Amino acid sequence: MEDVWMILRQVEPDVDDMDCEELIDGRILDSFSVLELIGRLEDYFEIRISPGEVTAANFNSVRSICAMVQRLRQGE
Amino acid sequence: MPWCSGSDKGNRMAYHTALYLVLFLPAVCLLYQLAGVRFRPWVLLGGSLVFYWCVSGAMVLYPLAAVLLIHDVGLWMEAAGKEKDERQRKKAFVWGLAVLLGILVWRKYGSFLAANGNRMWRLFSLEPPFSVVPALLPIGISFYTLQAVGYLGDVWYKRIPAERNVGRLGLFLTFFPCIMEGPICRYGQTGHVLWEGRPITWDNLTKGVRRIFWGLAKKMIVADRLNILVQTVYGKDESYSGVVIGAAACCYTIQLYMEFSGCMDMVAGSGEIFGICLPENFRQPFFSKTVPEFWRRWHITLGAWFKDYMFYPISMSPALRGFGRRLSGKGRRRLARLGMSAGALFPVWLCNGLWHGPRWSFLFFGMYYFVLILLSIGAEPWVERWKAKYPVMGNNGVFAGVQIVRTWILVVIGELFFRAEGLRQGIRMFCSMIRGWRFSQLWDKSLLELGLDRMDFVVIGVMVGAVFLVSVLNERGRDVRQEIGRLPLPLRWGVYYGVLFGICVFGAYGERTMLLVRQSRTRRCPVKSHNY
Repeated sequence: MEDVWMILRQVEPDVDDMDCEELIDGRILDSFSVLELIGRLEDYFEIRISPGEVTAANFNSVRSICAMVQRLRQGE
Repeated sequence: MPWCSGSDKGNRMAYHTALYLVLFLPAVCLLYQLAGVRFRPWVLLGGSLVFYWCVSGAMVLYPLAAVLLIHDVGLWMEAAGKEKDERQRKKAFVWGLAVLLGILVWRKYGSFLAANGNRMWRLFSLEPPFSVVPALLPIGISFYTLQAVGYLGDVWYKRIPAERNVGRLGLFLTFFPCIMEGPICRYGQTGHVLWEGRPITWDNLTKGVRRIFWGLAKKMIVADRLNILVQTVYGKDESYSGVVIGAAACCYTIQLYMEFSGCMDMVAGSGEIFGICLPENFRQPFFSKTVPEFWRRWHITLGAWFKDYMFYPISMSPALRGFGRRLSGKGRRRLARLGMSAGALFPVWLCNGLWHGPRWSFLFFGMYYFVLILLSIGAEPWVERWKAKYPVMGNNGVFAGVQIVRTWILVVIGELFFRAEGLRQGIRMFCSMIRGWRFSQLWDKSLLELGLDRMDFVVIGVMVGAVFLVSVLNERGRDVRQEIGRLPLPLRWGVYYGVLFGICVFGAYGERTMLLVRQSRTRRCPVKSHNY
């Protein structure tokens, strides 16, 4: 969780609430930020995120991003 | 050339007409409420097909074929997925996309491609090989095709399971309030809600009707009235220059917003009556500080569709990623970002422009925004540096106002070309606007010779002011509809009667208005409804 939070802050330094549940719905992350975040997550966790994973449900909070990363690392 | 099959029929059944509001919608509501819960979705489906038949006749076969196609392709993909046969799954997906998009290209762009192909031939002094036959378009083909492609995309990405109930898919694709003007819905959001058969409650009914009337007021008081001025200038643009053309472009932008957002209010209101919350298409777009922000607030469902089904898949494709990584590796991170953005945004804006219709001016419209958005991405480092140097500007109201006005100007220029009958007219009007600009035209009564008198401008001004006030309140996070609902009874009904009175007394009626509306719809509709 800490790692994802750190990466998110690198992409979007203005995010100051780790419990924010509206990163996408609240328009905090735009499409370019999402792409940058995906690139960094892929490099850091050595995973491959497909376009199908890019949904508001997966990127709305640090918790949901962690869940997605975990799922992809387990190869589900 | 007709832009759709039975355009007159389509006009007669448009959402603002008495036929729809007084006859069709109440009849469907009545049947829906009388039917049992299990049969209500079928009433909606039947009503949608009748609606489509009324506006497009036998062309109803096109959306029906699309329903059957995506139903079967969805199940095919799911079956292949269960057997871990990725090749078969991909084959089904590609096949489904090819048929859906092939029909769209054939019906909508066939004559445009043929005419331009013939032009190319003539360049080499050869006999043109293609016969240009204007095709009749099934109404709403652009909308239901995008919804159908979105459904296949979601099944492909395993965001949703394939739907087994063909009726549910049919209602999703042909739901009558959305079929002509959108919004472009996602199956995961509205597919199941549409099929629930919720009862019509008094609360939903009144909320829906109120929203319909608000949309009607925007359209009839402002859009239809401004259409007279816009038609006058665009119909004989050689006679005008400078401020008059600028005013016509501004008026058209307001007209387009009032007509399209008004129509969306009527659509959303119709859905609300049945307890169905359709996605919003506008979020106070004229408060945008930048062009990209404008497109996140204007025709939201179209932008979101392009983002999810084109922008992300292209941006995340191995080719573009490889390109980005290679450049980033050489220490050219900014250039990599710009290159990747250009690679993904170009097809998106090309398709966005062409989606509005088979015209070079629409293509120019798409490319105009592509360049503007790319410029804003390219300028980001300088903007960041400037913001760091002058941090006070970040929260400065005047600076924000300047940014908003700059966005308005850019949007109005884009709409000037969008409304033009062709790219040639757009360029001609833009040049004569710049060349002949004289501020004195603002007060020398030039603007009063365009079909509208002082009273018309006063009525338009009052209604635009009311819409602006509601937008300001919405922008501040206040729910105006709820707040009006909480007002004391006399005041609340005063507001309702005020809107109703405004529509009855100040709505643009009469032979001339109807003639112009009909002309603009058949020649080239002022709103997205030409987007069949």
